[in-house]
Amino acid sequence: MIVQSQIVQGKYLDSVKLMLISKELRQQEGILDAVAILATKENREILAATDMLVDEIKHAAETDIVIVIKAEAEEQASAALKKAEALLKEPAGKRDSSRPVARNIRSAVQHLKDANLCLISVAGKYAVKEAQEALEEGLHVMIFSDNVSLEDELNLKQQAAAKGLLLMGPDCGTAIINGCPLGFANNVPSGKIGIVSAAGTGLQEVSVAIAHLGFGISQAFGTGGRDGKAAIGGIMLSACLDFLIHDPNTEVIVMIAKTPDPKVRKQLWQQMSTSDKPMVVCFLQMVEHPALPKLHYSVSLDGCAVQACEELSKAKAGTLHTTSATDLPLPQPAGKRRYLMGLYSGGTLCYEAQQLYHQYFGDYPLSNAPLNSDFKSTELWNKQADCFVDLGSDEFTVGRAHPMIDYSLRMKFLEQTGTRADIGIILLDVVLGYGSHPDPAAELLPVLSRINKEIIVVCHVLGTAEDPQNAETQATKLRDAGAYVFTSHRVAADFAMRILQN
Amino acid sequence: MPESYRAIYIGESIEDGRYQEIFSSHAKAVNLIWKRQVISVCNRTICPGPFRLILDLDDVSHIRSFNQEQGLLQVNCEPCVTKGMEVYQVLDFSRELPDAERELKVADLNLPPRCYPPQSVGYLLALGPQLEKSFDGTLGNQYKKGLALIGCGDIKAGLHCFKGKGYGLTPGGDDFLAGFMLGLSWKERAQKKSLSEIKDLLLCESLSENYLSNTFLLQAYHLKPDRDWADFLLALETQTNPQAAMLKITSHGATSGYDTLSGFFAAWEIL
Repeated sequence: MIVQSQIVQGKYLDSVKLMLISKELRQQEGILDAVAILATKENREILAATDMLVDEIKHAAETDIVIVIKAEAEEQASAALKKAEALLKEPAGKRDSSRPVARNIRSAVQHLKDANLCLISVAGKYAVKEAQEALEEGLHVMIFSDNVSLEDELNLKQQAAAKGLLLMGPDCGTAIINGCPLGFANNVPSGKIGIVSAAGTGLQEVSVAIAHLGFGISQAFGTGGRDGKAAIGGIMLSACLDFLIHDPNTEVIVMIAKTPDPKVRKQLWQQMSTSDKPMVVCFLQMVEHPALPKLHYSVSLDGCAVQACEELSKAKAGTLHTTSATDLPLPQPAGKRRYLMGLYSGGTLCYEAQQLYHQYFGDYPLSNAPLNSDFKSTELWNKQADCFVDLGSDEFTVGRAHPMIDYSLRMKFLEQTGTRADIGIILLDVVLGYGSHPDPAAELLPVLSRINKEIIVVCHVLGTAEDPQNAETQATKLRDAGAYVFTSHRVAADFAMRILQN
Repeated sequence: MPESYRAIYIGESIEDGRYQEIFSSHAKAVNLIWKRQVISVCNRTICPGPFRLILDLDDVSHIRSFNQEQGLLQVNCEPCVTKGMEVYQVLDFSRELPDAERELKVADLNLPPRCYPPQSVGYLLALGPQLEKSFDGTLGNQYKKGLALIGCGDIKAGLHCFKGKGYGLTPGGDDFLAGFMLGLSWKERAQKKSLSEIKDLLLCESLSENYLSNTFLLQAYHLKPDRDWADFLLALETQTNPQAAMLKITSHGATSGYDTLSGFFAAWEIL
């Protein structure tokens, strides 16, 4: 038996790396034991007790790292130490020699020659460079990252368009390409309806509604929320629309956006007029649109889904929810409980709810993401007013995950709102699907049980029974906790507005 | 190196001053020495803590210094953007728990040995005897002996079976002791037990030349945890899905999160 050691100085390592080194060295041939540890006095005592404390490391500093090998023979110990040296030079992380390692997009393309799409999810400031590289490699690009400047977005989209490639994003949270869900997306069936959307949860809401109605999706493209702005000019809305117009697997086209710039709208109407395929458009508010024979306009997301399914089946598509909101007796808020608090994780849903509020009351609610900038407020927690909070906004996601994943902030606000004496209704969305929280009901139920029972909780569950969280299970749990649960956001919001109106 | 640094969180306990002596450094954190403790400059994946500056970066290993003067921050002698930065303030855990909330079922949360990753204290405690002649076996037996000694009331001898022993930049045993301290602080509050003598002994005997371990230990002593631990303690207090909060802790370091949890549960169960 032989023991060899090495002191590692002037090199900073993390714990994960140290543990991986210990583990890998023990798997080498002829190695009886091996460790990579801090040379604390106490660890040296353990080494001594296991006959692994050799002279070289007896006087190592407390903060030195030592690698000690106990082997059957000298050559095996030496080989293991050489292996340790090589491992020290490798970056931290899992090593699987059977899988190729790519250090950048160019190298990834070399390993995966059939790849044609690159999903980028890095800090915004680095996303541009990566997207540029992906475009140069001839890949379609989906940029999940936010914090990319408008100028960079325009530049990237112009380059992509010139090459006949798609550039979805930045801040593109959802897409379903060839049946593969990317980012936050739901498990919906394949079918003949193609979607292009500049609104992430809008795409989720419509694709799920289509699934509820028994139909499916050919492709669902996200473009990022700013594509419809004048500065970008709807480059990708137009490119994706063009793709769907020419896609033989798409029979009906759906377009969703938060009211694009008038010039962009004009250009899109013109493009739609060139196609024979039925188009269903939802810009989330009433806008002037041309009277094209195949063009249908809807203000609401679920209306858009119903219309698309009807166009496909040439028949009434049915209803989206098992219990119609109009069938339910309207609960009455108690006494002085007169305000509504909307706590949203989906930005588009928060937007749609505010539109509906405006239709009902002719006024705007307060919001951190308002329809009308005069009603912007960041201090919404104790305002004696109806408020809609988009918890997915940048101010709430710095240093924490998106509220569809991390419910902690929403629970905090829910708890706080639940103690207020002037709140009558809480309106919530629970967005399910890939990438979202694995069990939102488990998070929400304890808080819901503590909310003052006089407060009416209205909840929209966005998802399918095939989603990892199972929408039906989630809805049942929330309903059992006393919430009014709906599978259509418009219906849920409408129900809340009618209570408020009363 | 980024064009400009942007801070996301700064801990409430970081005093004005210049920090430039490196204790340890890797992609996720650079630990700068301060009064036998460390101030950590961390990447965005690390949760905020009272002695942490969280930067909007993936890799902070190139950082060599950090300076704070009257609200102005500099990283590597360059200005650091603080717009949108939050000051991490530890939840006030000093208020008394209502009677109904004192009987918390903490022990029920403890993980079965199979859930602890290899090289963690929990794993080695469970498998120590089977690995007797190896480093891991000897280490596991030390931990086991330590627990037994603490259980018999010989706290001082028991904690020395953990101090400085184990894997990682904060050896597993040190993480265990930090968790043990946190368990004592929490138990003291939840059950109105006076454990200050044991806490003082633990602090006095456990402080070492490992300034990172010292930092965790002192935070635990003062019940000033990082956000993930604060979330866990709050979830325990309110009995709102503490398992989910616990999961976040288990992602700390290689086995650090597991080791501190082992210590926390041990304090709850033994004393």
